Amino acid sequence: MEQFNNSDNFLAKWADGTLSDKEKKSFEKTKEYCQYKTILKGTDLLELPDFDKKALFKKIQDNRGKTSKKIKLFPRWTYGVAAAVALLIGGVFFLNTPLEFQTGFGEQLAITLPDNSEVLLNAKTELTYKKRNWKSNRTLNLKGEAYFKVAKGSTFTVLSPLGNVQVVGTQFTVNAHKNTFEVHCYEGTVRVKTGQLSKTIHKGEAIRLLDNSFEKWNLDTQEPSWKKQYSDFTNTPINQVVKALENQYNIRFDSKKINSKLRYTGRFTHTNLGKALQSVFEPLNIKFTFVDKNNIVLATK
Amino acid sequence: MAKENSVCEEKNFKMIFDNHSEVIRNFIYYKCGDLQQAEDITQEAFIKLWNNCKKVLLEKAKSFVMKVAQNAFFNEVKHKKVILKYNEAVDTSKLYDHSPEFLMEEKEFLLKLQQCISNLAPKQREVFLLSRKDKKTYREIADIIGITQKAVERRMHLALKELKEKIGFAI
Repeated sequence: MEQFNNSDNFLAKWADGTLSDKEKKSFEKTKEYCQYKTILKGTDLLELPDFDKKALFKKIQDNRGKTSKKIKLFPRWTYGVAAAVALLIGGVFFLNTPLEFQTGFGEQLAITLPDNSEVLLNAKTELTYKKRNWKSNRTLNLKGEAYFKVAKGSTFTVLSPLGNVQVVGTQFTVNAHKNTFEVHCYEGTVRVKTGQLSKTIHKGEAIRLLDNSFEKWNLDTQEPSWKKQYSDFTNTPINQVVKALENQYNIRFDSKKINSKLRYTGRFTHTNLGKALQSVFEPLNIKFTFVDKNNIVLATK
Repeated sequence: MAKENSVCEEKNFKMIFDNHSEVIRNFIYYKCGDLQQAEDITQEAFIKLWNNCKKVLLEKAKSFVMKVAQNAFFNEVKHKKVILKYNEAVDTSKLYDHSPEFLMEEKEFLLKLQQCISNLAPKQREVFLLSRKDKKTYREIADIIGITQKAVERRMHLALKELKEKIGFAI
């Protein structure tokens, strides 16, 4: 009994049958002995669930060589699909998002298109185009005035609210401000279309839409005057000239009191508002009065 | 020569399986109490042995599957309450010629014993059952679990003591 209490493996040895005869005999005299014996006997009677060794071995043979059958939260192929979808969406989104360029009052902006065509935006102008398939589909949207130097290639189209311009390779300007549609051709030929009207103009010619018909005249310059800090006008409706002044100098005109049928031929500078106003309105006999810094009232003298 | 001692040899692999698969299954079963899971883990362990048969020496194959099975157990088995099941039909009448009352009492006793074993601490339970049901020596159990033989004996001793305290009154 002493060993039983002092030792921490006495029962293990007893169960194993490795106690000495002396130890065994003294243990068999205790009353606990009977209980322990019954426990072991009872345990022997308990049966483990059957083990179908053959079936398990068959399963193992069938599955050998395959990797373990851990089930992942997302199967591996879904990562590929997710990446592809992300790329696709990203790509489509990126390529389909139109590139947008804008100029403010009196600003100009030079842009080079993917095919090395050049665009120069005049003041208060918006230009958008899609980079996708640019080589085969050269189309831009224009609101305002811009000069194009188009590289040779497929058809080059400028869409504007009032009409479209199609060229193959040439230099021209399009003025598509509100209520204005004017095209100047400096080289090659340009096809201008608006509604049902369509006209082709050649080098040194210009065209504008006025009262639903085209008005054509000849240019005497090789490139747009506004590239050189002034704007040139040839028999231009006064409203269009007023608009050009507004865009250039960030001012507002009240032109209700003047005759809108007036035409203007001449130029104004981009660098001096006083001189510009004088050069436009003096010849037309129009008086201009500043209401405040940015508002001017026009009246016939 | 090297090939004959390779685990990749079908007959060697079969031999390792025949000798050790049951102990592994039981061992995992004693730990988790889920027979299906115990068999799954055993299966995976042997598949892993096959897939790595070129890297594992024949004499190390047993400890390899043991280790793999134990790791799988630690990784995957949720530690839920262990309820070990034993086959219902315990035919005692062949062994003993006792009165019906005694048989009834014995059946109840076995049921209680079964519950008490299930409620043992896992460390004691696996030692107790490997020793009594799988007839493994303490040395072998020490190898399977990866502890010293002395520790195995201590656990065995504690398991028996615990069982006596829980069920001794019924005897």
